Amino acid sequence: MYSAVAATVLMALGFLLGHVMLRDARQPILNFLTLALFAIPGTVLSIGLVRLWNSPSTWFKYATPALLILGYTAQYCAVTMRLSLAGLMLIPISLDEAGRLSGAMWARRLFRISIPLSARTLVCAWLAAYILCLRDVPIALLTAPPGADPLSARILTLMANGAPPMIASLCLIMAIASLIPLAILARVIPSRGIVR
Amino acid sequence: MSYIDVDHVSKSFGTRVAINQLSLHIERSERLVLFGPSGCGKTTVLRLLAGLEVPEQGSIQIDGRVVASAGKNLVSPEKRDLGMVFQYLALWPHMTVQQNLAFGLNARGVPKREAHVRVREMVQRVGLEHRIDAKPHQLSGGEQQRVALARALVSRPSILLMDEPLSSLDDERKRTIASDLLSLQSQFGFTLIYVTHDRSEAAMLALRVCQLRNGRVA
Repeated sequence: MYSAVAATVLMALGFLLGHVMLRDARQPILNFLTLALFAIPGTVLSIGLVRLWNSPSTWFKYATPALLILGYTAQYCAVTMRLSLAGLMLIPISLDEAGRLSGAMWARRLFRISIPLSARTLVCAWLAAYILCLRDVPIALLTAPPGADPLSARILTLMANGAPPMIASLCLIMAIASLIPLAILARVIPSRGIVR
Repeated sequence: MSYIDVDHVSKSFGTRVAINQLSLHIERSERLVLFGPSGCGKTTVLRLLAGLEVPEQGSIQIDGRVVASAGKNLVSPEKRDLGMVFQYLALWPHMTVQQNLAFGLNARGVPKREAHVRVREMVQRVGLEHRIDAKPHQLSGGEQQRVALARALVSRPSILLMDEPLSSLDDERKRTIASDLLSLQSQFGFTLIYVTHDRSEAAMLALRVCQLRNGRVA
């Protein structure tokens, strides 16, 4: 559930940042920032987030899954941004320019031209983000609020003193949760094979 | 003062000078053909007029209004009241002919009913009423050219920029579309600025030919 929400946030944010990266002069800064957040270990990133948000004035956020989603977003944004950028680079710039000359402003061009032409890219970005978030352990362990552990954190906790059948069934659920979107994707986007 | 005044405009890409102190004066409803070999700066002139590039020096005025001057575009492409047919047409592949034409009208806030009427009229005018629900990949090369032309004209711009749009067509189709273009120009009265490296296209369309070489008028 948290992975799906985070994947949706990551897909949208990654696409927007990819769009900015394609046309903006601040590209190197954005590139460095997202890559740095990706490179920093999840444990360090989570401790930073906890230190930043664990205060009485920000308790409203600290005590909710929002911090977990923020952690996932910070860590994996580089992945969805780069996937989106790769997809956007395949769209000829003249399609956007034709939109500009038709009088369409940025948002209209984004929603009517760029997003429909990037549908497959967006699906792939969502899937990659979903799988990364689902299998993540450090951010899940350190930033999830009490009683709202993601599956990966719950399995790890139960490893210490849980019943093996319970652990096995949770592992099975996690494996299925990872594979179902892949199966859906394979149906939606048929493989074209490798062209040599 | 002319309708369009390009005054000592320069533009470089890295170390390559594309346009070098170019001055051009174009009258309202004129048909100007920018002619010259590949790489002489023809397309850059169109892109500067459209606002898709920013001049490094000089200024551009359209209808008495400065739209760009050294280092900045003062009027964005969205607000320049011009249409453009790109070299590779740039039709939106996920939209039908009808949607391609209606997009600009919707963006400019034309009421839906009026937009529908104008799209129908323009599609009829270019002889594509039977293809209105087709997507670009379902059209022939000549039909795609007509859609691109119709899309550029449906919002009734005062200037039409065309960047070698007929280069991929055979001579017969070129003649047909050129004759349609002349007829549309006499009907709507727009100023036509047409870029080509093909003498026959220049001869078919031009009231005036301006030859470019190394980013300057030769």
